[in-house]
Amino acid sequence: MTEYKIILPRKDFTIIASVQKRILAFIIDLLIFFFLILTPFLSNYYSISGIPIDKVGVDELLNNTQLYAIVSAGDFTSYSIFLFYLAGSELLLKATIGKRMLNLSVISKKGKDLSLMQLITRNISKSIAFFLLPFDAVLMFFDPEHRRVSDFISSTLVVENRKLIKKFPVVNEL
Amino acid sequence: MNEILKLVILFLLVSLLIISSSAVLGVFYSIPSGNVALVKLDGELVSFGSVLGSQSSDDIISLLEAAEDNPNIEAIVLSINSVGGMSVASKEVSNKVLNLSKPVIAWIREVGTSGAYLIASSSDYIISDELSMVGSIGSTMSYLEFSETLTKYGVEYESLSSGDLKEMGSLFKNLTSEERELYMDLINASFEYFLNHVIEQRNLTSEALSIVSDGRVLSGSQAFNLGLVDELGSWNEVVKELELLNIKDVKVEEYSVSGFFPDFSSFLDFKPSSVFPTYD
Repeated sequence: MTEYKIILPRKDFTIIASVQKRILAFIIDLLIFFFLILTPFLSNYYSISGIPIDKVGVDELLNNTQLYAIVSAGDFTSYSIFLFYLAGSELLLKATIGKRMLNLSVISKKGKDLSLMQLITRNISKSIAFFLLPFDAVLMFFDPEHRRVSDFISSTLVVENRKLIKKFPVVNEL
Repeated sequence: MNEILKLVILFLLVSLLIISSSAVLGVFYSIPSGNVALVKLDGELVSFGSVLGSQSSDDIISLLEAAEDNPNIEAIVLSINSVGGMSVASKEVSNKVLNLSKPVIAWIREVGTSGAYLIASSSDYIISDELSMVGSIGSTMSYLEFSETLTKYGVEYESLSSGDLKEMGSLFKNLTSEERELYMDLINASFEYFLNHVIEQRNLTSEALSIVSDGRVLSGSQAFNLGLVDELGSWNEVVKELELLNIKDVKVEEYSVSGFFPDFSSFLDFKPSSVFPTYD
């Protein structure tokens, strides 16, 4: 019995990820951001800088420009690390951990792996899209391919993972 | 590459980024960790042209603002060793002290007179040594007048001015009675502000007021008896007062103007403060 490998073009097997799955993946990534990035980063940052952030009220923060700048710098840096995590996981694992857990991956619109430029534009545009989150969510619902702003900008798709290599036995009749 | 290995690499990279960036940023933005700010008011207080032995009101105000902005600081101790200075400079610092949200203790050491006392009176509590020099509530103005010296050496002073009073205060001519009166108005306005401020802040008796308003310098003990000072003592009493404010484990952070070398450039435009009404 001979075993043949038949490799089919990825696009033919593309199943667009559902909005529900994408939202769930986003929530998982947010939890990773909160517990594994933001919390350790800020606790280390505030303990080294000596800022008793638990004692600082909102009024004090808004009226104290120096303190506001310090807190903003921390927030900005932790968000940058989050973007690094997103780009890094898409580069190494082809999807963020949230997406991998739900069996989703990111591909280019042409059905290929992401190019470096797509990876960069996709993740940089996420920081812009972050401020347009409600618009982004609405767009995802109405777009037939459930694309977000960052998907449009970088020409990428989030798809369900399917086995792309099918192995099946063929009986050699000769 | 194995997926697990890729995940480990990603985890290590993100962890490294978290640790290194938080450490670098934390060191860059570190703030003093003490809970009590010690701001020193030493020497003559000026609003411009500070030289050795004097302090600019801008510097003192910025130190007070830095202490106010630091969330670790729970109280401010103003260590005073000053005979005062320019009236506006003293008033600026006094107003700043008055508007601070954190409690301020004025600790008068050797001397806290005139403008320095104006500032101390804006604080929440005043502690001085029994031997300290306190008070000197009033305003003064003086300058050297050379007109007779010039005449003696045959030098004639010619003055061309748009108005009769334009040149009042010139070092090369005597004051006319009108000029003297105008200067006295300025000095009295300055004195009235000072006195009203002390009355408002210290709630003095009329007897004490009549004593202190002649501008005399008092010892710490006399000042305490007249109500100009709340307590006699030194650093120990300051710490006790801080503890009464519920500040446990007092850790002092000294706030001072940074810079290794004194600013000699200001010698060039230095003008003696005494040609302006001063709380000296």
